Amino acid sequence: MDTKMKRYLVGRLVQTVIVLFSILTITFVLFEMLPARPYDLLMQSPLMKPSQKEYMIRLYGFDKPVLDRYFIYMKNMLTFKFGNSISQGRPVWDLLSARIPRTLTLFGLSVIVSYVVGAVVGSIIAWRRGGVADGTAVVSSLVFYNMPSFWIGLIFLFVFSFKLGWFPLTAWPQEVPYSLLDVAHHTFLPMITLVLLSLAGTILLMRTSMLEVIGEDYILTAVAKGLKERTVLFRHAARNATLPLATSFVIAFAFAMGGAVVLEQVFSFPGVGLLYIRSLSQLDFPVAQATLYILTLMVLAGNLIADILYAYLDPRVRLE
Amino acid sequence: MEEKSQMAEYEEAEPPRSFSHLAQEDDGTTSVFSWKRTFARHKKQVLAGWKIYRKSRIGMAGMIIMLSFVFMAVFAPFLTPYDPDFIAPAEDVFNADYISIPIPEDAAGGMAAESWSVPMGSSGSTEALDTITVYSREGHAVQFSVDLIAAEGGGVGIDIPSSESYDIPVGIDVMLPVLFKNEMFFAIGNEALHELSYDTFTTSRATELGFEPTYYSNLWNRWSLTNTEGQLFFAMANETILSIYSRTPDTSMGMSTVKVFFDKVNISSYAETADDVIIADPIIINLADEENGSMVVVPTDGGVAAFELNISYSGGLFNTTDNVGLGDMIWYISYEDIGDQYSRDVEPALEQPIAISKENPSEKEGKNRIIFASRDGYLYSIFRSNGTLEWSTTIASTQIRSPETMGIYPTYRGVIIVTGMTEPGVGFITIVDPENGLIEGGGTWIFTPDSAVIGRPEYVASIPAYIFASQEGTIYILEETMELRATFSIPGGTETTTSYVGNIVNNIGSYQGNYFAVVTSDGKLYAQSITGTYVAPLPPGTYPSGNTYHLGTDVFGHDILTNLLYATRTELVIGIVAAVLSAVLGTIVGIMAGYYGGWIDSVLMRLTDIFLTLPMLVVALLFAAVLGPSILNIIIIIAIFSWAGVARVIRAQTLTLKTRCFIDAAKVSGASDTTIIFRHLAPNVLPLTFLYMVFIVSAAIITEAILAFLGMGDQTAVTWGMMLQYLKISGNTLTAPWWLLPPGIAITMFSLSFYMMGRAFDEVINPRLRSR
Repeated sequence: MDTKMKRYLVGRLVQTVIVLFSILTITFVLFEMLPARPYDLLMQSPLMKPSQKEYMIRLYGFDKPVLDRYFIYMKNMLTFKFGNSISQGRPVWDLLSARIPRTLTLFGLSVIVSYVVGAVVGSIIAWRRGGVADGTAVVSSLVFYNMPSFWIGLIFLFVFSFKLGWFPLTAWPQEVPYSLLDVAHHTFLPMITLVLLSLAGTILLMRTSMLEVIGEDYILTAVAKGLKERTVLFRHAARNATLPLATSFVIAFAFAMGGAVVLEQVFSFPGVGLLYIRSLSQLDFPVAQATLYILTLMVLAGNLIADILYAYLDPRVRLE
Repeated sequence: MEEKSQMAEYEEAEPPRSFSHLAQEDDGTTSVFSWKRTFARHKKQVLAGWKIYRKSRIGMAGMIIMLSFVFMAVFAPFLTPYDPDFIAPAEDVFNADYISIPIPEDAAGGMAAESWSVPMGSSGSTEALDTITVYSREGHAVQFSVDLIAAEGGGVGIDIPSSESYDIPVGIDVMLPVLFKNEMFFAIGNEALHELSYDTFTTSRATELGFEPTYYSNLWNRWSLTNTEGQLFFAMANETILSIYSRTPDTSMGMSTVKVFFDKVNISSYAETADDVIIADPIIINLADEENGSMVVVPTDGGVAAFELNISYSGGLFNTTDNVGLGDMIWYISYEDIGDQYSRDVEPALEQPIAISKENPSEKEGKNRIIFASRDGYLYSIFRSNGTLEWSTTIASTQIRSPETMGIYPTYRGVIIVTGMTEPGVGFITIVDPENGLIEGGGTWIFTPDSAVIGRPEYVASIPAYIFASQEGTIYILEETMELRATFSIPGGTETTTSYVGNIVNNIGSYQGNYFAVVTSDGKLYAQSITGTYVAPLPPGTYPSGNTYHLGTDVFGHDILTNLLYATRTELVIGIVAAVLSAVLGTIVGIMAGYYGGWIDSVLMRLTDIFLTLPMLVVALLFAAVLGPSILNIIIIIAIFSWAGVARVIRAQTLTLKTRCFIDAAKVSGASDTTIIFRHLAPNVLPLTFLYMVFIVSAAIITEAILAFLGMGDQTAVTWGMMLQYLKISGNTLTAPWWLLPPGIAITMFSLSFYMMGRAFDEVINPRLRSR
């Protein structure tokens, strides 16, 4: 790896850390601004004496000044010390440990599948611009792209689970020793919904990008040289057209994460997003803060990976 | 380097937008600014753009769909079959018996015009509904006789064959809903307590009270609410006087006579309550055979006071030769004392600030605490025996925001009902556990009616369900888990704020039909069974009332077509306002960053990075939890999370424009930064701003829907997202496709129309995208 590349990656890493700090700060301020505190939740136990309540307030650090709390919060988040859930009385890690891989799979797999499939479909339909396949793909992508994620989830649930009975209504196996097949059967619907939603955007973007590349002279040259259509399409055009696709990862990750959170809610998929929404309404600060942090980390990590990928794909980044 | 790559990134992700072909003639030639010329140039640009736009099939289709949505929004009142707040009548949504009968005009005085109070029912010897009575302060009572008939579907129906009018004492305020098998019931008025016979409404006994009670307590009865054989007593109060009235069968003479006793105290004669005023109903707690067991608890404007009840017992029954009198004050706890511990200002809830945790007076269990509600949503449990604080809690959460508690009621199940208003003006009803004040069901047993609940809720054990009436005149029948079982508006009653509800048959597990009755604003008695089947959401079709619901109804009985069309208005406002806000913000940030460069550029672009990178929806949910659900806040949230993309593109565009000759020319001719930004840069990036605005409208609608679906929507507004949210929370997702499909299709079409317009417009300002 040459120094330019290293410098690029270090720069990216520094930027990611800055963004992470800013997001943590923003969320800290927002949590401070919430209409009620878990403080009030602590007071609700009838068995707790006032002295014990004060102890609990001290334990969770609500007696300290805001600035002190901020530093403690940052320290806890960065060292992954999430403490205990207020509403469930269990360590937050207990709740998270099983959920993180699930959400990561749902989110990661749908991004990867949609990008691979999207790039291929996008380049083929752009190559055969104006054909039936192009029209169908564009129209259906447009429609999917503009559908609210939860609604398409509900429709799929209605059609495939309720009417046709192909898939179970719950997105996770109920019996405790479950096989991988069980899990796949249960999670297929949320997965395919998220893939379709992300796919639509990718196809549209890839098609636009391809159309520009196809107009370049070197494509004309390649065709004039008598190369096979296939070779021109995938070797010359699609390769170059994937560059803008890689840059759109930033938006795509945030989009897919939003989709994952919503679909977890729709399909009762026991992931981080579902936990986040529930803890937010229960004012369970430690869980809400931890889940939000984990979700943010997933998106930022995704972006970082995309950056590295981009640097490999586009030599200009390394050479400049 | 890093900076540059990012710029390149974005220019490639969104292909470079050059529109020099439209404005070429100006390059390098314009040195003096002229409005006329600018106008002419823009007109030319727009016309040229339109010519290109017109060729785009996608763009034209999008525009047609968009225009039809605008048409729907503007002409919604003419296109919809019903009013926006229309609710399907009970005969359509509820398979149950109902009856509506005018209150007869009396020959003596126009009785129908009088203001009637809560209808009361009474059961006859068969425990079935026998009569319904309404009365007025003007001294009239009308008794409707009720016949039970077989209703459709095998249920029990009622028929009202006749009615009888009676004169009662004038000025009667409260008729205690206590009646004894067609024997007698109580009425308060003219500083006297009347025992009225049920047959003829004549006063069989009147006790002078010496004050006019405005509050009265729960009734304690040795046997049950329908038995006159047992001993009974209850408390009454006005601002300063607390009194007790007891009525005991006296068997000492060998025959059945009735012994009545009345006692009162003035609370201002006690040091603790010398300056206090009673503000709500007193509560009787009677625990036979228990030390320090029987007391009257009364809330005042200064605190809560408990007075001893002097009852002597022998063998589990209280001694009928003794009277029930009021003793000394047992304890008093001021609001300062209650609030001290957490240094809060305690202000009591207005109408009903205290409750005991069991309603049935003959049960001992659960009566060791009194629960007090403050107006700002806190609950405090006070030990009955000594008035000290047991626990305190708040019902405020992200679902109940800034609650204004209005009432707290005990239930037969032992749980406590808390009602009130929340910030956006909707009501709330919730069930809390008296042991710790936590909302039951893990914080989920909450129902939000359209407005605040009036009066006390009725509990029907045989269903089981609670009945509530809201200020806007809607009746809600809720499951014990606060899930909606049925709802309907009172026919003809929504014109006035009054909606009196009375549960006709005795409500402790009656086996014959349970009815509620109201006097409607057009002077009719309306009685409706609540033991029927609620059939809403209704599939599309025509129903008994003659109404046709083209797209069916939702669970509340709202016509879906009507809601769908009216929602277009809200959606247009949300989409366009949010888009304009974020496009303007993004353009300003973009031009500033691009034009000034240097540290301004760095700071603004770092900020833009943060907003582009953060998982929007996840943070937006937290934002929504902080700001609270309202249309304005949703618009603000969408704008906050959409400007960054615009800023990026505008900055890149500004950077290319900056190097062009006409900017140099303007600089040389001495134009200020402001002039350059607003007269030279802004008009040139405007097409791009507009393009992004169109895309943001499309995204805003989807974001609004998602926020609504996740419970962060505005309950007071009709939007497509809220329609789907209600579908989810009412649990009809898998059973009501006529309700599931239209809002989703509307969201998709609306979003799609703007997106397609955006794509076509993109082709106009970006010639490389056009077909070659």
